[in-house]
Amino acid sequence: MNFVDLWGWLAEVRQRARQQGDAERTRLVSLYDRAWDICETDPNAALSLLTEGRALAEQLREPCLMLFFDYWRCEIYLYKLRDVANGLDLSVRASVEAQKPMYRTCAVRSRVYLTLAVAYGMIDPLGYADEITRTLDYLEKEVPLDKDTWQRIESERAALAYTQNRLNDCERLTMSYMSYIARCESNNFRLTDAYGRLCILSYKRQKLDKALEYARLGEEAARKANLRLASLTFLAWQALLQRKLGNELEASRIYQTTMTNLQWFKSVPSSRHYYVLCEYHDDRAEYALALKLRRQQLEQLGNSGSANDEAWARYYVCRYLVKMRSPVRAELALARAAAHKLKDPAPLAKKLDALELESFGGCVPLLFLSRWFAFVQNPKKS
Amino acid sequence: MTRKSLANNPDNDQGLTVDESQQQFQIHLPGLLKVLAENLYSTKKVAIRELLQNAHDSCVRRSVEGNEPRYKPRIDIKTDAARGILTMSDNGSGLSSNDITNYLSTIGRSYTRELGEKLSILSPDEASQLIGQFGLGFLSAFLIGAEVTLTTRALGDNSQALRWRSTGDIHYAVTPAARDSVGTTVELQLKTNTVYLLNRDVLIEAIRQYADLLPIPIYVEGESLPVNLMTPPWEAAEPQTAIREYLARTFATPDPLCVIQLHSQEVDLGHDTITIPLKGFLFVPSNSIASLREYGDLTVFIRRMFICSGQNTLLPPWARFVRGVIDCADLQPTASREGVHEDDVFSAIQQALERQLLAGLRRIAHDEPATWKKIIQGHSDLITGWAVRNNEFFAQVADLVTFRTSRGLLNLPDYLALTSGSLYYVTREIGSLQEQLLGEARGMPVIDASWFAVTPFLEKYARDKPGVFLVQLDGDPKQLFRPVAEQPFTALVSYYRKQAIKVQVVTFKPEDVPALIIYPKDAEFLIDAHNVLDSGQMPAPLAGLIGMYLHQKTGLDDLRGTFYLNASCPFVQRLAQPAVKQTARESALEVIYQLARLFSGRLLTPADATGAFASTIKALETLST
Repeated sequence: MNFVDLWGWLAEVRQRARQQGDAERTRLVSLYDRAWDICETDPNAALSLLTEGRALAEQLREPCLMLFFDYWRCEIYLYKLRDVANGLDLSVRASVEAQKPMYRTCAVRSRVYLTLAVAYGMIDPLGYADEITRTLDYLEKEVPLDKDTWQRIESERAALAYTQNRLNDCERLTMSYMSYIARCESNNFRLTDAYGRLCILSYKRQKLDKALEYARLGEEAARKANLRLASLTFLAWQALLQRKLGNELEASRIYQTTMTNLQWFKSVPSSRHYYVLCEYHDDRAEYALALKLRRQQLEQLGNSGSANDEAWARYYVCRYLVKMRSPVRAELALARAAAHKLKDPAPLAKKLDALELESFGGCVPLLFLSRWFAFVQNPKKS
Repeated sequence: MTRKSLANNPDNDQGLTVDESQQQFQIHLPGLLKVLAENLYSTKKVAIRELLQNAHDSCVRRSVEGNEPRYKPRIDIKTDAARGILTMSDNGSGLSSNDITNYLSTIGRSYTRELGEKLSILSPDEASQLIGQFGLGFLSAFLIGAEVTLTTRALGDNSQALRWRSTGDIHYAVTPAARDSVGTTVELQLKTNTVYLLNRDVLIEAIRQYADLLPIPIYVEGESLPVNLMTPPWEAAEPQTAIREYLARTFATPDPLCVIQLHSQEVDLGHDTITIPLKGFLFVPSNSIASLREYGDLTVFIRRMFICSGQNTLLPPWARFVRGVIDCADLQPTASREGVHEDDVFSAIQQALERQLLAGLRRIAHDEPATWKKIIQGHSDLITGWAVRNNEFFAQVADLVTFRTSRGLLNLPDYLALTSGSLYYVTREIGSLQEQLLGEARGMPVIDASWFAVTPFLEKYARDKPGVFLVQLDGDPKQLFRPVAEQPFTALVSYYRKQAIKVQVVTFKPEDVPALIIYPKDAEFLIDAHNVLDSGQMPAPLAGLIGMYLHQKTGLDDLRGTFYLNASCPFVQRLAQPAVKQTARESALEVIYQLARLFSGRLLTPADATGAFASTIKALETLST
C-alpha cells in the first residue's frame, strides 16, 4: 500500500502489530513513543532508544521503519541536542539510503530529504539559502507530501525569509500556512512554530503588545503540543516583552519561572532562546548576565558544527565585552575565525569591525595604532 | 425532593423550562450483560474466577461470622458434559433471603466489600482475606451461562434453603428448596459457545491460573486432592525450593539464575511514609536477547487472587532481564480485575520493587560472584543497553558487565589491567579482524563494539573513570603501524604504484602477515554516496547538498584504502632482494595484494571477489611455470 500520510502510516503499523499480537513490532513502535516522551528531558536517552529501534527494525527487515528511526535520530541531533555535525552526517546517510528503490513508497522519505535541507539551514542559512530553496521547491513539486510535511516546508521557507531579512515575505508565508492550520486542523506543533516566528517579527518591528500576544498564544500552543522547552522560550519572550513594556515585577517573575524550569531539560535550547534571554538582560544593561548566557551557549555548542550559531554567539560575546569596557581583542579574533567558517563572512566581519572600533571609543587612529602594535608583536598571527 | 431550576439561573438566558422532579436511571440488564461480556472482560474464563472468588469469600465469611472451630472450608466443581452443565459448590456461609435481595440481585453492591470495611479496623487480617469489591462478579456467570441456578442455605439455626434462578434478563425467581448443608451451589447451563469449559484440562488450567494460591482447597469431580496449590511458594516452609518448583510448574523455568524474595517495604512519599505489604519474588531467567526476548514482567496477585501476567510497568524500565510474581493487597484492581490502577500506591510499589531489586542484585554481586557473572553474561546486551540510560544502574554494573574481546569475555577492570588504562574497540562486525589482529599482535585485546549499546557504554565509562582512554581502531589503526624507510622496498612499492594502488611501507606485528589494506572510517557509505551521485538518479537539489557534504570528506582516491606492506615480514624482505626474478616477484606481490583485499573483508563486490581469485590464480600459474 502506498502512503503519503506519515502519521497515518505509523498509526497503522502500531494498530496492525497490536491486532496481530506481534510483540516485536509493537515494541518497535513503543521505542519511538518512549523516545518522544523523553526527548526534551533526556535527549541522549531518547537517541539511545531510537538507535535500538533502528537495530530492531533492521533485524525485523522493516526498511521503512529503519528509515523512520534514522529520521528521528536526525531530529534529535538537530533540534534537541543542536549537534548539527552528527545531524548532517546522519541525514546525508539517510538521504542516500532513501534514494534506493525499496524506500519509494515510504512516507518518511520526504522528511528525510527535508532534514537534509534543515541541517544545512542550521549550519549556515544565508550561505546555503539557494541550495535550501531549491530543495524545498523540489520537495513541494516532485515528492508526494503529507499535510504535516508540507506545513514544515512552508515553515522552512518562512525561516529562510526571516534569515534573509525579507520580513514581509516571512510574515506572508507564516500567515499563509497558519491560516491553513487554523482552517483544516488544529496542529499545535506547527502553531507553536508559527507563533514563534510572528513573535520575533513583531518584536523586530517594535510592535511589543502584538509580540506579547503571540508569545502567550505560542506558550499555549506549545503546552498543548507538550513542547515544554518551546513553552519556556515563549515564557522568556513574555519576560522580555513585559520588561520592555515597563511591567518589571511581572517580567522578573516570569523570568525566574523560566530559568527555574529550564534546569529540568537536558536538551540544548535554541539560539533563539538565548537571544531572547540576552535581550532581557541587554534591556537593563545587565551585560555581565547576558555575557554569561552567551558563554554558556558557546559551551553547549562545542563542536556542534553550527557555524552560524557559533559565529553569532561569539559576536554577542564581543558586543557585551565592549559594552562592559572589558578587553575584547582575543574574543574578536575568535569571532572572526568563526565568521570565516560561513560561506560569506563579510556581513558579520563588518559588524565585528564596528565593534572593534567601538571598543576604542570610535577613535579610528587608536584602532589602527592598536592593530599596528599587534602586528609588530606578532607579525605572523596578525 | 426538588432542586434549583436552571431557569432561575441568571447565567441561563435560554428561557428553557425544565422538569424539576428527580428522575431515576433505568438499567437494561441484557444490555449491561452484553457490555460486560463484550467489553469489560477479555476472556469468558473470568466467569470461573469470579465464581471461585465468591465461593472463597463466602467461606471466609463463614469462618469469620460462624463460631465453628472445626470448620473446614472447601470448594467443589463438577461437570456434566452430556447436559452442558458446570456446577460449583462451596460450604461457605450461604445466602439468606435478604442477602439474595440486597446483594446477589443488586448490581454494584458487594456484601464482601461491606464486610471487609467492617472488619478492617478490628480484624484486619481477616479483612485482608476477602477479595470481592465491586458487586459485579456474579454477573459474569451470564457470560458463560444461558441459565444460572443458585441453591443456597445460610448459616443460622432456622434458615430456609432457597433456589434463585435467572436467564440473565431483568427477572429472577426465588423459591424454597431442599438442601441440608450450609453453603451455596451454582449450576450453570452453559451457552453453546462456552461448553469448552467442561473440558477437564481447560477447567483445571483456568482454576490454576486464577485460584492457584487461594487458601481454600478446590476439588474437581470429587477427586481426593485439590487442584490448587493453596500455599504461595514464598510462604512455604522452604521458600527457595518451593519457588523453584513453582517456576517449573508455572513458568517452565526450573533453573533461574537467581531468586530475590520480596518483603514489606517502607516507602517515603515525601509528605508521608507508608509500608507496602509486598510479597512474592523476582527472578532472573537464564538468558535474554535484546529486542527479541526481553522480560521485565510481573505476574500480579491481589490477596492471592490472580489479576494478570505480563504486567510490565511495575518493574523499573532497566530491569528487562528480570521477571517476578508479586502479591500486594494495596494494589487497586480495575473493575474487570484484569489489570491494576496506576495510582499513587502503584508508584510507591514501583519504588519498593526497584529498591529491593537493586539491593538483591548488589547482594548477589557481593556474596555470589559466580551467579552474578552468569546474570551479566546471560543478559549482557540488555544490561549494557539499559545501563547507558540509567545512571544508578550504570554505577551498579559498570565494572561487572562483560564484553566480547579478542581474548574472550572480559569485564572492563580486567580488560584495563591488560592495556594499562586504554579501551581499544572496533565497531564493525565484519572487517574488523584486521584491527583485532593488529591489536593482539601488540599485546592489546580489542573490544567488539558492534552491538549498538557498547560504544555509548564505553564512552560513558571513559567519561566517568579518570585516566581511562578510549581508542576506536576501525579505519584508524595507524598507531599500530611503525613507518619505515621505503628505499629498500622500492621495487615492491613501484609495482603497486604502477597499478594506482596507494601503498605505504611500515612495520607491524604479527610479522607473518605481509600486508593489510585499511579503509577509512565510513568508506562504504561514502563510496555508496559517490556512486548514487554518479548514477544521476539523485534529484539535482539533493545531489547538490550531498555533493557539498562529500566535498568536505575524504577524497574518492583515499576511499579505496591504503595498502600497508609489512617490512618486518621475512617473505616481504626476501621479495625485496634484487636477486628475485621480476616475474616471480610481481606474481607474489599480486597474490599478497589480493589476499590482503580478501582478508580486509570490506568493499568487495561479487565481481571484485571473482577478480581477486582470477588475479591470484594467474599469478600462481606464472609462479608455477
